[in-house]
Amino acid sequence: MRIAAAVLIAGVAAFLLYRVVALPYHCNIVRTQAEQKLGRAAEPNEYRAAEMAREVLRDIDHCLASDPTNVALLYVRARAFRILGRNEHAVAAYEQALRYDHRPEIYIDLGVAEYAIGRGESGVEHMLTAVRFLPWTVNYIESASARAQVYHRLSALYAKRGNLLVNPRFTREALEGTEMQHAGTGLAASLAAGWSAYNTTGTLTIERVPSTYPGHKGTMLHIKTTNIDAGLMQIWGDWGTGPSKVITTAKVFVNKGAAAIGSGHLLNTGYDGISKTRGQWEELRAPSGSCPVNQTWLVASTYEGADFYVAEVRADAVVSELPCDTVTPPPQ
Amino acid sequence: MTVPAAEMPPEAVPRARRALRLDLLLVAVTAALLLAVPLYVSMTGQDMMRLPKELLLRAGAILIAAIAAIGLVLRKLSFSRRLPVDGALAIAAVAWCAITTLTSTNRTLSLRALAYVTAAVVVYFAASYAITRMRPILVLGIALVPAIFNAVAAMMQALGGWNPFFVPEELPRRAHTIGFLGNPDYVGAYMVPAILTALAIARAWKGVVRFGALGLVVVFATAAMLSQSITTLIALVAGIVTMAFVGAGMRMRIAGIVVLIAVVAGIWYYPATRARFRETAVAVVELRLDALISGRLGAFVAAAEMAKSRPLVGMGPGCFAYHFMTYRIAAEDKYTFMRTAGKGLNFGEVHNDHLQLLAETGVPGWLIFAGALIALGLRTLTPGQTPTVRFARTLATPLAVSLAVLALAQFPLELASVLLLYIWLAVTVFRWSDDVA
Repeated sequence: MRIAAAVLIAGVAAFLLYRVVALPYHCNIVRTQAEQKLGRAAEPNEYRAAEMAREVLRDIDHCLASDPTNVALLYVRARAFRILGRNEHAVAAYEQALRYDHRPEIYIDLGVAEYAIGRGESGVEHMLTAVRFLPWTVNYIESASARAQVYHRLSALYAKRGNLLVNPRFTREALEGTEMQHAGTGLAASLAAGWSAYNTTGTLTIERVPSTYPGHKGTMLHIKTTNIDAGLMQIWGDWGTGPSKVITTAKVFVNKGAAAIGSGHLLNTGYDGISKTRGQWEELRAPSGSCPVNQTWLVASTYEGADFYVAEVRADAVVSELPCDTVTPPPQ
Repeated sequence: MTVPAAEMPPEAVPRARRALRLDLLLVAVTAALLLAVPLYVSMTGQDMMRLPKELLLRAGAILIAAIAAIGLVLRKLSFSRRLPVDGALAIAAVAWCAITTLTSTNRTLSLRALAYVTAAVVVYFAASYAITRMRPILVLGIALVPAIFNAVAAMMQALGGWNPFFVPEELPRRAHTIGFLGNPDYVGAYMVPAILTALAIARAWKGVVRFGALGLVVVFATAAMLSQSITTLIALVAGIVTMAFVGAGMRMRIAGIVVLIAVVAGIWYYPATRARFRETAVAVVELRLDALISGRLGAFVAAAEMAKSRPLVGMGPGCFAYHFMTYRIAAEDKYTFMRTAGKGLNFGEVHNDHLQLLAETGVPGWLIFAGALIALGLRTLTPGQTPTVRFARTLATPLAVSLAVLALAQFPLELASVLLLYIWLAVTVFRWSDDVA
């Protein structure tokens, strides 16, 4: 009896070793081979690509039969089905994968496959989820109409947030004191939280003073620069993210030179609007110049620098279907 | 645990002799597992290191459980009925994991995590059984031999020598420093307990052993330095400071300060490590939290939100990755500061085991972990002057502190190799201090 029980235990252990150790180990290798084959299936010879995809489906079948929750293999299966043009099957595989893992690549591929079989609403929803998490997945959306719908939904979400800038009236302090100077180049901490002092050459001076803008009770900033492109900058979104279009507004009072506002993509923001008056309050208002938008600046636009006050800056997303041409991942 | 033959009634001794083979087999399998996991790689798999090590852990746990069960059925093995505090905590961990699997938001994923925790607990009890039957040199050898191989491999990889694994040449040297563990951070995390162990050996033993252990400290510390892992170096410094100042005499304090100066000098001397620390210092000054924690803010916030939404039972073991995307997207709508935090990284682990435990198993899960660390740290209070007790007393708190610090920005509990080393060392501390505790 004891011997029989011991044999039974050994049998159960052997089964478990096969099921939860040997099989996953083997399927880890099968996955490598399947992915290599799918990589080769990207070649232009459609017949050869289809052959490869069919081979992959055969190879992974027994692994998926033993572990239907293997997300990596479900993803491989879905990709193989897409190569074969069987989008319905691909959608089913992606949906099964989503039961066990949420990854942007599954969402975007599922969305594209759904869109291809006419499940537009659900497809756009899945594409939007992927793009919200990983913005450059938008590049995988080939259909112009799908892209436009995704951007429309995305910009509506951004528009709901209202002013996208933090500390738009400079009420929260960053550096202590009422005046700071930035004589270097690039970004430096400023007097207002969320805002950076941005300088090219020469000297940038920022002073915190009581606001004189009609109706405002808080503070405003007095900006004096000795060169062009110096002033305030706020990076409010990450590289490659943000709405496709925003309207930037700023309440400025220019004493000398001219002030410009702009919103756009990091490293690619220009002057969207330039002040025209001096000695009086003026509201600058302009649409963003590059896409997607994640940065706003307010700087001197005259070579000899400028002297101006700013009471408030806003950047509001506009509901738009305007797609960005390409969204690139951030430089390493 | 079996009762030593010497303590058994005379009629039981022949039975104990018959049990010798399974006894040895259990000890041998446990030791082999501890030696093999940190060195095992699968050259043909998609995941070459982490998954194969986890599979080996599963295999080892199944074998150990089967041997123990067969031994019990055939009455060739017997175990002590006394359950020490650490054993009770291990059982509590697996029990709570089972409960949270039942309440999980995705039971399929939680069952996998439960299997991992169960395997670790099986190894815990096997280690407890094995350590009391092994000579101290073997116990310490099992902990340190894989660390030596990994340290030497990491050094060769970092310095541009031999590397059996393909890493694109254009990647920085740090990325090449993976030992047999898979990632520079894993190498660093593995070296921390190894360094502390070697230091504790140097404190507990004298003569050649002491000098040999100090030599190993240099080897392991060099590998840790070359990994350029900031968390590793902070955990190491925390461990050394604890060793020098908690329950230690003046000579130990002076020695600790000397080692600390050597570590800081090493960080400063090696340009790459110095550059990483400088970047971190700049991030602190500029209050760039995300940069300070190497882009992990999204994972931290998502985990905190999960813990907030289900504080008692969490989302379920192994469920963080499943919910991460949803919570990361929602966090951006909720918190302005999340809009500038690094995007697109799909975290499978929080990179903070404290938060991961809270997110996946709720507050009770974290309390069990904290309780285990405290129970381990309390062994520093053990009296006694034998080398093994001195070793246990010296290592106890630094080991607990280093694990707590590593778990702040890495995931040592999710890495089979690092987890097994911590388990082995913790059990060593408990069992070697049991006699006098």
